[in-house]
Amino acid sequence: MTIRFVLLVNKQGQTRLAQYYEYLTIEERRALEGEIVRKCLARPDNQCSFVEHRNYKIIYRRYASLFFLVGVDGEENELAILEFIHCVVETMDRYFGNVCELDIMFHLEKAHFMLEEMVMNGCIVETNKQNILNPIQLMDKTT
Amino acid sequence: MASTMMESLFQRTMDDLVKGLRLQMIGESRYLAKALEEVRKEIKSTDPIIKVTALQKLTYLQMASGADMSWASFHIVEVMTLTKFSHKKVGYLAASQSFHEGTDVLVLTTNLLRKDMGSKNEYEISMAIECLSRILNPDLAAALTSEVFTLMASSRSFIRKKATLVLLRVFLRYPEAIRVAFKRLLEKMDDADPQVVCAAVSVLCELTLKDPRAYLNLAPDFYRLLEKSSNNWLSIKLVKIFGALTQIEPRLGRKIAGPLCDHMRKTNAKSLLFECIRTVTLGLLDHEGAVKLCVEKLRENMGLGDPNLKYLGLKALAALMDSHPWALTESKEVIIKCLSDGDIIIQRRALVLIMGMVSENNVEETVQVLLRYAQSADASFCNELVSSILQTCSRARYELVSDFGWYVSVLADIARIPHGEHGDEVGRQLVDIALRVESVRTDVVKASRGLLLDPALLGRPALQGVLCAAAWIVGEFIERAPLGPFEILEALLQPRTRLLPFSVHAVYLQGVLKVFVSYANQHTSLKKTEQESTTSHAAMKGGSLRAAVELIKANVAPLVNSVDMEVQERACNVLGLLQPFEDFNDADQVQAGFGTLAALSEVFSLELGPVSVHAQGRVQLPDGLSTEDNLDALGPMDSSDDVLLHTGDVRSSTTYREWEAEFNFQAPSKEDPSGVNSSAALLQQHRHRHESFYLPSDTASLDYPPPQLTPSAATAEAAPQSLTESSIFNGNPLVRSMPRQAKARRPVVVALDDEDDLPGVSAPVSKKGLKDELVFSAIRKALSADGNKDHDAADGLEISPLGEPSSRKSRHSRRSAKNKEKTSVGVGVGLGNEDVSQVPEVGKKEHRRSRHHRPSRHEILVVKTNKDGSSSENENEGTFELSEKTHKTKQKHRSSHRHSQRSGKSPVSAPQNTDPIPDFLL
Repeated sequence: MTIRFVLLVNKQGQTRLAQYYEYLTIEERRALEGEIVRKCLARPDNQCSFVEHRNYKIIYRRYASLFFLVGVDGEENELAILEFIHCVVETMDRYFGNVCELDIMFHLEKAHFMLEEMVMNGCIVETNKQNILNPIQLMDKTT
Repeated sequence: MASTMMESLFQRTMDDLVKGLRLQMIGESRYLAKALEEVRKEIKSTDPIIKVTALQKLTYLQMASGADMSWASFHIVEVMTLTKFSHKKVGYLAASQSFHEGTDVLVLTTNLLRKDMGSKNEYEISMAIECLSRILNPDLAAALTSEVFTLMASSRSFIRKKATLVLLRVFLRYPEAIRVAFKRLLEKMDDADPQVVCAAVSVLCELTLKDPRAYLNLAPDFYRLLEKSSNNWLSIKLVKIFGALTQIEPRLGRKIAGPLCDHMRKTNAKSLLFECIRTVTLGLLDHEGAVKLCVEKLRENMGLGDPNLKYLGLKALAALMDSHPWALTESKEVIIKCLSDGDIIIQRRALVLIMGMVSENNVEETVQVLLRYAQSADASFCNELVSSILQTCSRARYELVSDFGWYVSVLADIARIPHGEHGDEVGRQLVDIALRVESVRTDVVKASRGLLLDPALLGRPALQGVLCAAAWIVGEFIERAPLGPFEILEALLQPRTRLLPFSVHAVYLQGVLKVFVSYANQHTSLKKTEQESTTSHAAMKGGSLRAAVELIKANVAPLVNSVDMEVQERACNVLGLLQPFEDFNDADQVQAGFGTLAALSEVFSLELGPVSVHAQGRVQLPDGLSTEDNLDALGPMDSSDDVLLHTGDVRSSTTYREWEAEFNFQAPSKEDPSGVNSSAALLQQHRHRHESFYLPSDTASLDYPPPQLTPSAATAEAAPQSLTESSIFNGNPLVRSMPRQAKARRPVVVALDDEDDLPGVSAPVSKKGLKDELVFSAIRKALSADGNKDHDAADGLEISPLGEPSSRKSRHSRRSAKNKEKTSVGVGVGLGNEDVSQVPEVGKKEHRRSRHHRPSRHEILVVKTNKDGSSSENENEGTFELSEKTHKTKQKHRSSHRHSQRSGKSPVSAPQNTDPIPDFLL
């Protein structure tokens, strides 16, 4: 299991999307998110995007008011995860059109759907934007 | 009907909930509670739309505010069974967010998942697989493995890749599935769809990282994929796999070095570049060329200014630190630049590297650079810098320091750094150096004087340790003070000393006493000489003695009323000594006073030295003192002590004997007189029982080592070397100077016996779960189960002598007896052996691993060369070409059912897994 969790957090530190690939209880999740947010959001932009926390390595990137944080285990390739984050953002951009915090809040299940298409079992399965969006667009058509 | 209409009309939709949440800045918790209350009601509804919306809201609330949703698990299953896809989706999402292996309703999902996995709609299938990847437990795995297995052969690549990926979790939760599905996973490495290949490699990568031993046989397949891979994601995974494999099979490194270097040179993707570098630092450290290329690339990338690349570069360099120090030295400038990066994470990593580079030759330069950075760094990093300087320089009895005068000045500088927090450590090292390094004492006293004279330092609590040490040092070595004792007296008595804590103040007072004694002594010796000469000098001197007395009296008298016992007592002592000098006209009194002072100065002139923590053990047992008998008789008495010491653990005198027997002390060694040893053992026993009454002796950092009876070093002019050896340590069994390799300018550092008795560092024990072990053995079986006919060949082809599964060991040991003769021949022939018939035996000699390891490779190489009909000029290159040829031949073999496997001649290219695989399920 390489990717342990994906978090989307706004500037105020509120979680906007959380996807865990290993089971943690709600309390553990809350605690972890709190610690990570405190650690990462305080760092200025010109510092490196990797933070070690507990046994995770957090790789994060900021897009406007949203922080994308990915927790991985120690052996994962950091730069590949940064590329993955960028891929997530581009996919969301393509679907929502210049994605913002509100898009994710109001279409949470779609955002989850995209992530599910991209990551499974903590491994990245799909990075082609159109392939990722196909099922979602199909679902939109039918409803 | 009407009621549900009403319900759905008035139900808060998902959007309403989110909007409401955004508006609620203050009363959020109340709003949440209310929303949850509604959800609880709505979720029971029979109307699917209401139910789904309620569940949607609940999922949102769980994520956004940590609401508990475990109570809704049954409802989640209900929603999952709905027919409409978008409804189902909500249920599945909720399940994957909240279910875990222990959720009780998982039993209910088995049939549902099976049905969905057999659905016609590929998105339903994918949804079910996705959910399975989150919630799979052994029971589900047992029930659904066959479905997963079928789906792996699906005609739609979209499904194939997901089914392949879920296999990872299936294997880990349910190792029995490996037997069934591992072959198919391997087949997927040759799938037509690159995404499926990527998925299969991802799974294998995860499995390999967990336990690489089992996957060595797959190396040729990975190699082939890496050669033709154009997808960076896939290449990264493959390179990662090789990172794990080369660690346990160094021979693989030779083969992989070429492609890795190619990738490093060609790729534009930094992620792939750094993955290659990581693999090189893990398993290819012997390949100079690859390492050089790494270092070059690292330097290039770290110079780009991107903080991420700097971080990764430092990380990679740290991995090279031990094996390739030159890599660090070459990148030194970049590393030092990172110290001022502004990112504490990068700074820390750089600091670790710099401290790793320190050697005797560059320690001074490095420390100066670090101190310069410390001045400008923020408080916390400054302290990290300082503490690493202190730690590194004092390591192994200051082995890096050759110029102690310089180091003492560094210590003084460190003490003065504004936010320094390492006063205690600096103080400890000052005292330590003053005691150990005789030749540098003058410098230490000079530095201490500087610290004591500065009134600003007294107000800083962090520096108390330093000041305490400085006060002790000037008191002890006052004769070395550069400008005489009087200014030291003034420094020790300055008004701001009241800011000091009592314990330090007491040390100051003791210092005053010593300094005064020395001062008065100088005075009397001057007086004697002055009786001949007739100058007014004497009067002046007498005057200054008077001034000293006045100074002390004025400043010490108030301390007689100190609340601290120690300060009060020392103040009284000092004043008592000054009593005779009340009236300088009373010659008798003054004379008597001088007499006392002279006696005291004799006492103080005894040199203090460091004492080994084990000194007591080396005291010889006097003849005729029989400790054993008496202590035996003490048995009953001791046990009564126990009653006092450990209440509730009452021992009778008989149990005492048993208890005593539990302590197995070392048997006396032959060299030592047994009497000493047994008495030492008894002492140790006694100590063990009455630990609390003993002074702690194992603390290496004694602030002030206890005094020790050594004759004073009278010949101060003698060379330090001869001095230490002749006058101080001769005839003293407790102290011994440490012989050191000839170092012309390095002064002698006194070392004590057994000083470095550090508690043994226990090797990290890797704990492997039972499950991992199961996975491992299952895969081992799956890989070797190509049919029993191949067993012999597989044995001969055993690549890894390091990781033999236990199941094979027994067989090996049985065989090794049979093959003993042949084995010994094989080892003996070694490198140059070209006899083909020897080769298959090589792999079996597992009881002589380390020796047969290399020869076997050579033998096999030679054989291969002969077979291919080509000879290699260069071994390295030859290997590489061979590998390619091996692959070609392998490909050919695949079509013709690989007849060569039986002959067992190929070490690495043992493609056992590429045979057409019997389908176990169908």
